[in-house]
Amino acid sequence: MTALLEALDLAVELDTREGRVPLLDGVSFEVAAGETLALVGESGSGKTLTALTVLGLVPPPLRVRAGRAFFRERNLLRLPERELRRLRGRELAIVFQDPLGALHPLLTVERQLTEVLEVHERLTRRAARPRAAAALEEVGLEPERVLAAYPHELSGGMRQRVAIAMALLLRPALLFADEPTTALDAHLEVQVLELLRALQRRHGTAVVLISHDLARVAEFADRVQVLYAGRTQESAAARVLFERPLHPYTRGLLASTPTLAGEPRFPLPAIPGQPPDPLARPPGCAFHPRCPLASARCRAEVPPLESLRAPSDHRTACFETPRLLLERGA
Amino acid sequence: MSAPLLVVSALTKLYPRRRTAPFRPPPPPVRALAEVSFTLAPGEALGLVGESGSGKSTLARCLVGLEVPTSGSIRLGDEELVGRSPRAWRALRRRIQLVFQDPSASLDPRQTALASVAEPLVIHRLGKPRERRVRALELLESVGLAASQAGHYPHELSGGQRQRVGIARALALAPELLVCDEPVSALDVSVRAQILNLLHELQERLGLALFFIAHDLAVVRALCTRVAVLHEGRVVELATREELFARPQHAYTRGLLGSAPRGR
Repeated sequence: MTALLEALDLAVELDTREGRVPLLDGVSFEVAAGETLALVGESGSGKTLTALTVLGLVPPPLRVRAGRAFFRERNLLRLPERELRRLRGRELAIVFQDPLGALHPLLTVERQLTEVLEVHERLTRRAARPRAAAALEEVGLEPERVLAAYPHELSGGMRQRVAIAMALLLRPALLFADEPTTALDAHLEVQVLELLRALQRRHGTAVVLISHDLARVAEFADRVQVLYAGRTQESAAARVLFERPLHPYTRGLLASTPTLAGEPRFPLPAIPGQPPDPLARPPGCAFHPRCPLASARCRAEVPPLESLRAPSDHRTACFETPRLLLERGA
Repeated sequence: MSAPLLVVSALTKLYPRRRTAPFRPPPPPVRALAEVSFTLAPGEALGLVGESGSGKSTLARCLVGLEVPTSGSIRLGDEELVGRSPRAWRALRRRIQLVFQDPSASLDPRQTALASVAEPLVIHRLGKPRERRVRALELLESVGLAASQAGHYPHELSGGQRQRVGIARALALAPELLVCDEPVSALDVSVRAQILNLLHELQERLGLALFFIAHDLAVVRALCTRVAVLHEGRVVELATREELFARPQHAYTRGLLGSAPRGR
């Protein structure tokens, strides 16, 4: 499997009066054509920042300190803004959590969709219209009804479909979907994720799905990468991560999320404490204050992200991994 | 079974709509709640599930007097809540309290945790200042906050800690019923179980009744022994947890269960 996008050691920091604070600290990931990678984390974990870094959209005062992101053999982080802008939209697209923010409130859906084609493909508005209609049909909307509508006239689920249609209009090779369903009800959530999967299969699009909901993305992603405090803690095939998680954070997350299976029993297993403030992350492994296995070493050193034995691509960043593997093997 | 604490009968809430053109009759009102009926026993945890727009929050707001129902009745013990004056509601709030979804929006940003929790005692003129302070510190401790955090302002606390303050404030007047409107959905995933454990512990320790509103079925299943399903303002199903999750009767409930993430 060759990667369509390979991002290496992304590092983003914030300049403050007290000094430089790392927000993203050496995050790497790769995604192949037709594959879905889920980046999972809580607020402040760096999951959205990872996508923004690759797309060249990191807002000041944040600054990209290091990293490379190879897309079709070109390093996106070194590309001139002009070329990057041409790639965004045509080859790289992003769908945000709140489609209202992505849609212009004063333009009809038709105008917003045709404009993309006018700018990127130099089509006339008339020539662009059938393409816009087809894009809406593809996401399950009726073009006659939706083309003439303004964003506020549509429901939340319909707006997110319009945003997806717009993102996919130019057949991007890679789509970032940043919490695309968090604002939606459960049944719409499933519909939108299923739609993304169907479009991906049809066109071979690579998808990076960004989410806080590990249980939900495990159903839709091929691989899952868990971020905490700006670092990758664990990554593996979705089923492996869900069924045999190794990192204490991943394990804690899965154990503390109520499910529809089994007998509920109190107290629910809970992770103590809360995710750290990105401006005051603990030294060593950032999870150590909440970790049941933390030792003196965890408080002092950052555990490296290491692969388990080949051929597995299961990786985890924890000093206790050998012990956990032994326990599991027994 | 003991006498119910709360009896809601045929509760209806209509929102009138404005006419769309002069001389034309206005469109029919929006029916946010339609003939909603259920009971809740003292110390019971009753769940309410439904999607956005189903009327969940309208129901919560009617129960605590923030919204006036169009018709129907809400009885708390032997008192009728519908049609009471704002003045009467002030006394009633000692018995029934609301925990909001987003504690960063419901707490006063200029009040410390201690002041937020003590405020209901001040409003109801309960105790002397020193006693209020002691009581507020006790309440903060009972929801798992340290005395050192009592002087913190909301922005100095994490989301989970703010929700703890929200719960402590709701408990200040020792209510019999806590209405919780999506109390964990704004919190980080790794913090949700802590708050669910706290609510369960308070229910057991204080004999508190919970009316727990959520869109997340697994969360409701963990905490509540009976569950009502609200759809387009109507209770379409009301059953014990075991029945509802094993044999959902209504098509809408089956749809809800079908779109929840599956367990491991």
